[in-house]
Amino acid sequence: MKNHIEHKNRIWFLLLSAFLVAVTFTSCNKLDVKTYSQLTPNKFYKNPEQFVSAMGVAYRDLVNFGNHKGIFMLQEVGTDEAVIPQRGPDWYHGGEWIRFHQHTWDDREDRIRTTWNTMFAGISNTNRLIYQFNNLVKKGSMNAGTATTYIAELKVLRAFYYYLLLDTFGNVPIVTQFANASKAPANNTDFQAGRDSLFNFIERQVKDNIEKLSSAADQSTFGRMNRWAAHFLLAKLYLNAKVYTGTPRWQDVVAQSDSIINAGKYNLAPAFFSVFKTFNQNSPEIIFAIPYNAVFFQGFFIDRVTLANLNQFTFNLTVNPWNGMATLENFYYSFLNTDVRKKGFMVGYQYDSKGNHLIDASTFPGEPHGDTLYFTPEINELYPKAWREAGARFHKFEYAMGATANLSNAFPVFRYADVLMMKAEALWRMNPGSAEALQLINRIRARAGTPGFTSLSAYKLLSERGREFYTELWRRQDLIRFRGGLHYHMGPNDVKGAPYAAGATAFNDAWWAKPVDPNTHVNVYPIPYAQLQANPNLHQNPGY
Amino acid sequence: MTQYALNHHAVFRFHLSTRSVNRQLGFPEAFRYAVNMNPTAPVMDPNNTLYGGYFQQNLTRAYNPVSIIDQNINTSKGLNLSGDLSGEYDFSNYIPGLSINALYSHRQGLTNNNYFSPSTAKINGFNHHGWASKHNSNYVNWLAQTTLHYQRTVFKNLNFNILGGYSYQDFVNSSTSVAGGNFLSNDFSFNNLSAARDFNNGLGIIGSYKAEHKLIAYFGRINLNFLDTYYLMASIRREGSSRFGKNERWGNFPAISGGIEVTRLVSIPYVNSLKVRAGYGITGQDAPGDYLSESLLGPHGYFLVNGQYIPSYGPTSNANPNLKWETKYGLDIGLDFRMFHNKLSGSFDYYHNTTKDLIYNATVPVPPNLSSHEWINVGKLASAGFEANITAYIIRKQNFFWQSNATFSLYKRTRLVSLSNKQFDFGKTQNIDVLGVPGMVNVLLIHLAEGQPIGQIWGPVYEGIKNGKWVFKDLNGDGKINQKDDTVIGNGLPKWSFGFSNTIRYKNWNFSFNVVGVFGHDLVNTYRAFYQDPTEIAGYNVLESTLQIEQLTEAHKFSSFFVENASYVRLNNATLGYTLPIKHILVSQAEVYLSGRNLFTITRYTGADPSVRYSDGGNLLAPGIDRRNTWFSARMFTLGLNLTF
Repeated sequence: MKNHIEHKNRIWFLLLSAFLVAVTFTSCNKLDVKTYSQLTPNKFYKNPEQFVSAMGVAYRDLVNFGNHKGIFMLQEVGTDEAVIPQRGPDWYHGGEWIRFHQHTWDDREDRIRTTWNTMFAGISNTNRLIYQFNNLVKKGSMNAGTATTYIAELKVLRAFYYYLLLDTFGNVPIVTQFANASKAPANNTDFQAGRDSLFNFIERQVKDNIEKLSSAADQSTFGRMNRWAAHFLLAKLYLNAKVYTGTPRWQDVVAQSDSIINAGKYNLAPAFFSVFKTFNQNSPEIIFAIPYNAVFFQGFFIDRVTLANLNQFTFNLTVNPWNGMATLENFYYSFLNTDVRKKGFMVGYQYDSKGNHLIDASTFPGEPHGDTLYFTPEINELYPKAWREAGARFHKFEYAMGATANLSNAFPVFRYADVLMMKAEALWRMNPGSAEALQLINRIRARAGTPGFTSLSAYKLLSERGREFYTELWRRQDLIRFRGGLHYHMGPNDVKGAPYAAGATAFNDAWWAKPVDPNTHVNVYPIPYAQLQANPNLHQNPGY
Repeated sequence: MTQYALNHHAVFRFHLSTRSVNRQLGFPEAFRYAVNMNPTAPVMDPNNTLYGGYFQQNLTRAYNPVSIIDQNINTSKGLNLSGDLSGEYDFSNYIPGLSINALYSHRQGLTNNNYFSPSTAKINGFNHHGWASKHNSNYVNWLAQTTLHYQRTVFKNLNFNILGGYSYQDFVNSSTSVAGGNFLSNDFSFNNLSAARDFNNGLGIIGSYKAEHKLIAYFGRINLNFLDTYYLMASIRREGSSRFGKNERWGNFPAISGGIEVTRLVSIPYVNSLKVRAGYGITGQDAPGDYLSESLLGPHGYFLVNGQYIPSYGPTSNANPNLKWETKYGLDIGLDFRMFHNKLSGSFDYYHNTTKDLIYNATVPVPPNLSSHEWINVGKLASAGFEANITAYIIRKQNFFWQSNATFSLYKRTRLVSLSNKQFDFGKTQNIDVLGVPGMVNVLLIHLAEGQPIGQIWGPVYEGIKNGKWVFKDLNGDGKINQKDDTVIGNGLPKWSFGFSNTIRYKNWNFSFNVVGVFGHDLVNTYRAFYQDPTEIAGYNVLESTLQIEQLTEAHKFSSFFVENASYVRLNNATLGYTLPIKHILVSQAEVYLSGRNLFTITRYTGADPSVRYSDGGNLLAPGIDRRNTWFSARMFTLGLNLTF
């Protein structure tokens, strides 16, 4: 019996020891954990497919060109071609859109912060990729030739981001390092000198890399920076050189435009709206575009920002639009009735896809057309109670029948018509009687089905640019580039009435519900407050 | 299950339990839309077949709250398993007082969330022609721990007690989710996701995720007790977390405390016990998420290459390889007493805490960073306070009993000692934490300044409304009202609080209640910033207080107008009971009672709940913000019967 107990005890003792040992051995002091559903940099960047894949991130920060979350609003909603009135309870948004219309924004605006963050995210991503590609070449895991082409492309893309910042914020810090970048980059010395050096930086970066870029103008470079996009970027930079640096560079605009024209790779599309249709990547006119897609590259939903809720049934959209942005009455009337581009606006009675009138039970009492949905070019007031039916709506881009939340039209950022218009403007600036300038402008007008001009003027050039490029994010800089006093009360069919009060530039003019800007500091946006706080070396732009 | 062996020197314990949970998760947004929906609107509108017969306003931010609850389904099913196996051996036969314990503990669970919104539900399904999702998540946590314990008495009266150990914890979380819309029929609900035509055109959403986290600790503790008069405790814990940067994973956290029972040394009249004690210790706080210190790459949508969209990979966040333990240095000095034959007892405490390397999701400069937020160790905080707790047995008789307890706390508001660290210079002041009201999304509410308390609410001082425009105080007298006139307009932390509870029994009756009061804190009433907008009267229901600013025509601006004193006194609960004089063979005791919870609150705060908000969505530097997700807490009455068999 005793033996039995001892035997049993021994078994228990063995079990206990085994358990203690097991517990102690499974444990250790190693704290490394695996990553499972995410990759670490040492597991990526292994083959050519992954290198190209990595580059996409740097392009995707352009995503807000086609929606109301960032740069689109900065470049359009403070101008004379787009407004978001407060429609009673909708689109008040704490007065944000009213401030954009009246140029009374401050450094806390959401869109200003988002624009800064996404543009600089694009820059940080290009800096990172350039750094990583250089390292991969050093390690021998990436072909030096491929790396050179990619790095050149990234540097020109980075120059484009800096160009957008130069245009919107003016004086921003230049950061090109990734690994050893200063944690709090300093601003350039002062406003104008800073903008100057940024201009020179962009110009140098593009010029140094342009020859290394692909010259193909086909699907292999669609949506990417090729040599022609770089020429276009330089032309834009020179076109606004006087605003950015004080020194005009008109001859350089002509030279850069000619590089594109003479290469013969692009042309005007025969039909204006074909440039803006769904799946437009084969348009001969598009030099650089954001290749939006309903599935793969989401973010283009200007249809929802502008259409009335019930227009969902006009296009059988799967989502309900928000009844927001419209064009100003004056802008709508700046088109001749024969101008095909005027069809890029929706006015009058609205129908569902079967042709029935749309009935909006939520219209406000006293709206001119009652419950039957009818867009009037007139907007009764900016706030607080613009009619739900007020304002012509944008329809320049095709809204595909049955479209889902995001559109599949590529967004043309650089297009050939602008090459012609830039060249024409530069020629006219140097010689107001330039016959070539007149002929170039009339090519654009001819495509639009409008009679040619017999002479040019600042007013004609500025309004023609508006008619051709509305909602393409050029309006703000065009207005700033032209002198003040170019705005008029307009009647239907481009009939000019009395002038509005003149500002320092056309951007500062009064129009509709916006008074004259007392000060030109609004010609650049304030640096976002959150960034001023995060980086004490930054200085706010003057006037804010 | 417990098994003894080796003459009771070894003990094995085994415990296994499962728990199954079914939940209706509900729709918090229904509360929000109940607030701003037109209260006179009908619930149903039989002609409105588009929205399933529910009345809906054709506005972007208005949804019939009844339709939200009735039309949509949001359920969760969970199954949890937990098991513990421990073994203990007492070495008393060989070395008196020595024992060893090993524990293995395992926790595992599955949760399955199902959601469906039909094509007639305006809030979600309508925009997708029906929307369904399934989300399965899975966790496996385990702990292995070994401890060695040694207890002896030496020199007759010196007791000591030593504990040493090691523990290892591993946490793995994973999930799978599928969501899609565009159904031909609403009858599938969430049970046939392949019927969602979103998957045919690439719009369906499929995701999966897995992450792991480890914690390892070595610890030791010694307790000394001499003559039951002098007490001393010293401990150390060395702990490592996988969440921190490679060279910053381990932290050392020592503590020491001691006390003296004074009445064992000198006799004090009426005093039964008086213990004076003091302690100082360091504790660590782990990072709030996995992989925060690592540079990770994740998918960033697709990129067009030669006419084909290929997936694009890039960093998902800023990596901070220097992330380390947040440490708190705490000092506590206090005394415990009992006197008048134990009729009166209580304690007094003074504490002082310093937090270093606070882990904080800070706004960092862009450039050079990829994104504008990063988890960093920043800043140093100091807080102090005094607490008193007194319990008195006022009457202790056979038929009459009355016990009263009072607590009193005085707080020195937590002070920000410094804001910056070696990596980041944030200057001497920072404004943080956004209001988030449309159009005032970027209005920053909280002002941080070195040397000043945290929770300072910041903005202009409201004076009135003139000609439809806000009038704020021109504090610096420069004739302009701008951000230079912003000042401290409140503080989210309280200055003092009390609690008072009583239990009274008289014969068969008993009565108890508990009152608390918290004083000196303010709250930003974001409800009012949202729903007190006169320009919205036309479409949305607004707060009654909107009438105060009815003549306002300009945009809403944040100011002291939206900051309110939130001091309050609340009767938390009260219970009245009567014990029935029943003597029965089955029922030994029976009591009926009426109890009420949250009976009344005296406060000038106009929001739903004046309680202190110590953090804003986890941000401890931003107390004092009442977000819109608070709803009125229910007042509850219970009539009950307690039977003892």
